[in-house]
Amino acid sequence: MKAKKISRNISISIVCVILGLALSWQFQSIRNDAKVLNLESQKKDDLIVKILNEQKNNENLRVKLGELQVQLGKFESARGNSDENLKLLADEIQKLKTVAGLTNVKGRGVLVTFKKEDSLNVEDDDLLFVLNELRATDAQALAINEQRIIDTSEVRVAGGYIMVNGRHVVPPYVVKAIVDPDNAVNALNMIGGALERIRLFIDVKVEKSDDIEIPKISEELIRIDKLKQIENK
Amino acid sequence: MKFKDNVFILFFIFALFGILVTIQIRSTVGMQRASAETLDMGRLKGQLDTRIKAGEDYKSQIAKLENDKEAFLKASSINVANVISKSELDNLKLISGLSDVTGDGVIITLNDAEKFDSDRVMDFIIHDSDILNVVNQLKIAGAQAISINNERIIATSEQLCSGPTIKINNNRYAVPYEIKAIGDSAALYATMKDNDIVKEMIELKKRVTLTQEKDIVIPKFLNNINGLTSRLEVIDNESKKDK
Repeated sequence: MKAKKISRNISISIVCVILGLALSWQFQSIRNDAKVLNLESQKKDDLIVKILNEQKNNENLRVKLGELQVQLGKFESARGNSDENLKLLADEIQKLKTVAGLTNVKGRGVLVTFKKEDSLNVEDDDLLFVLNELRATDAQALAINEQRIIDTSEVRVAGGYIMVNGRHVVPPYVVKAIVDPDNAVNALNMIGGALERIRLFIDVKVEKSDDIEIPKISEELIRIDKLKQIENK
Repeated sequence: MKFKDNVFILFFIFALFGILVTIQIRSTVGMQRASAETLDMGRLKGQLDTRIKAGEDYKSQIAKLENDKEAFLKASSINVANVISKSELDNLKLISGLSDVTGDGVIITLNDAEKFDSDRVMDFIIHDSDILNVVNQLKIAGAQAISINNERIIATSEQLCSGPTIKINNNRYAVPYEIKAIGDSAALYATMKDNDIVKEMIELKKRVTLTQEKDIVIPKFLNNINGLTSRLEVIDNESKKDK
């Protein structure tokens, strides 16, 4: 009777020990799994973002391709017709000049005016944010006061003045943009958007306008002496 | 009494055993889900690859068409009239950012901090304002051509945060960002090295590198060009005046 009891106790304790080991092992493996899982889902999210990026970028390329095809079609049909050819060429040159900022342009858009009394508080950041927001709503021509914004245009604060294109601009600062006016106003006034922070310090007025004129860049401001064009193969 | 003791121990053992089995089953199910996830990953990677390939396809097609167009324009400028010379076309393309360019300059890379406080994540990642400021500083230092991740910056190029990516020329890019600038490379380097904005980023342990390089290649602006001018009405047109 006693021997039986001892053997039973021993077997029970062995089972207990094994159970304990198994338990701890189990927990460890689960914790590892969880870590792996976390990592995997992180990677997956990254991957999805990348795929979406590529997809979006491809769409843009497709549009560009379509545009080129249409243009080449026009060229093809104008082959041999010299008047037509000249016109196409002139159009192309005109378009390039406009992209480069070498033409005076007008159109519908918005005026963003920084109140004159607050102009000492205006920082380069503020103007950059407004410009950036307008670019993001597909602005096609931009200027700060009379300075056309081109690819190399900087905005700099120097001793209470703002310099654009290396020239002083005189307060009040006005950012002009040719852009879809409704989109631009919505984007600028968005809660948490570019203007919300700026308006804490500066009185900023946004107006739509049907007739905005934006001057061309003065040619001496275009610097390309350090650039070498790569010939197409 | 003894009898009760044994029952109690057995009850305890069986209870533990039950828990163990449940946990085991749950973890197996979890692993199965995980392996499904890896399968998913494989599929996603495949998708990414096809997308990238499609993009390259588009790019090469575009390059070919652009060559055709170039050839056509040049041929007609010689045939039709001498009003517009080939070099004017080239020059305009150079100015407007529509040609690939090379020259000396600097390359700056920006990346999020490696380790960060989860409470203050926003302080440790690269924002559109960081990029905006760096680009503006480069322009102040006289950069003549700038690209971010090979996306040429033109007059109307935005750099906008949208979620984990930044939108540049309507295309989306994630970290790291590589900003290339061509200009007076010594001046560019000196300006960026002592720049407060760069210093501040480094202080926050964002990974910033700045190198001076020779013969940097900056590609041309690749988006739809009609979209850049469709709203613009040109006034006081000079080429008309010339005629």
